[in-house]
Amino acid sequence: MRQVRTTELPRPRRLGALREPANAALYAALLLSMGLAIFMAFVFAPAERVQAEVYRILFVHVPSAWLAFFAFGVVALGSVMFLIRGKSRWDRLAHASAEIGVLFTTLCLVTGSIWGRSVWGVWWQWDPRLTTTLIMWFIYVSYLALRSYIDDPNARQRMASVLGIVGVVSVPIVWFSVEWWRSLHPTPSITNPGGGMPAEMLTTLLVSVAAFTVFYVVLVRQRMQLELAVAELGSLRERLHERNEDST
Amino acid sequence: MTSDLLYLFIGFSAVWVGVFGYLVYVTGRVRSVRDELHDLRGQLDAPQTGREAPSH
Repeated sequence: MRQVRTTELPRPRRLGALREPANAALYAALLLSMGLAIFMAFVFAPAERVQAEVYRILFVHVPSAWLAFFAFGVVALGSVMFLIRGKSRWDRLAHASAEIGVLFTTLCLVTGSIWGRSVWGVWWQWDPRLTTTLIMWFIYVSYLALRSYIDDPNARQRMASVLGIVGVVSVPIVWFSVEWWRSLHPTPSITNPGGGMPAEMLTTLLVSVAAFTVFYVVLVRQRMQLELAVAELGSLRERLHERNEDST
Repeated sequence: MTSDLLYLFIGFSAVWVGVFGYLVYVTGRVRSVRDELHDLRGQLDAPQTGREAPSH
């Protein structure tokens, strides 16, 4: 009877490697930056002349949009690196980032819809920015669906990587849609020279974007820990199954 | 004015519920997978009794 000890098994990196001090510092940074962003959004930034208070949705809507773009950029980077290097950790990064990108795109669409209802009087308009954002959302939902439908890990990783690279084309289309087509949606306030945003609002917006970016990092780390744990679980199950077969 | 504040409240609530809900969900999944890993390691380290491993 052969006995296999887990200490002898080659396995993915232990979960503890990603743990304590770095995570504690990251969570502290998250709490501080989020606290500051909320304070600035409601206290520091003045009310807007036309929209009064409702414009403050900007401080969650724009960071959500920024993180959607950023997350899908990371998906493309992870996918390219996976195809070049063949290391699963790049694929795990792309997968984690895609899921979080879909979350932030959803939040961007929801907050935009709420803001639009207040300002335009309708929940939805087939406006170029809104429509292209919805198409981007569908592309990355398809990416996640593709991953869940393919059983073979190698085929899944390769096909997802290709879609992850092709899908990123949607990001510049969404970004430039307000310039290429007639749109109700305003042009970007930060990059638009003479956008007219007062300094307090702009500072608050930048702090909010920074705070949400820290949140993205926390979420990606946590999601990658889950991917690692699931990979390790699969490996251990396989070995336990082999051991049981050996013994029968 | 009141409806503006309501929209503002709904917008911020949606974002906070979304991101914190996702964080709590992923953290919970990590914890449950870690527990399962711990159990499986225990089974692999234990002497064999001929009992089949649970399949998931």
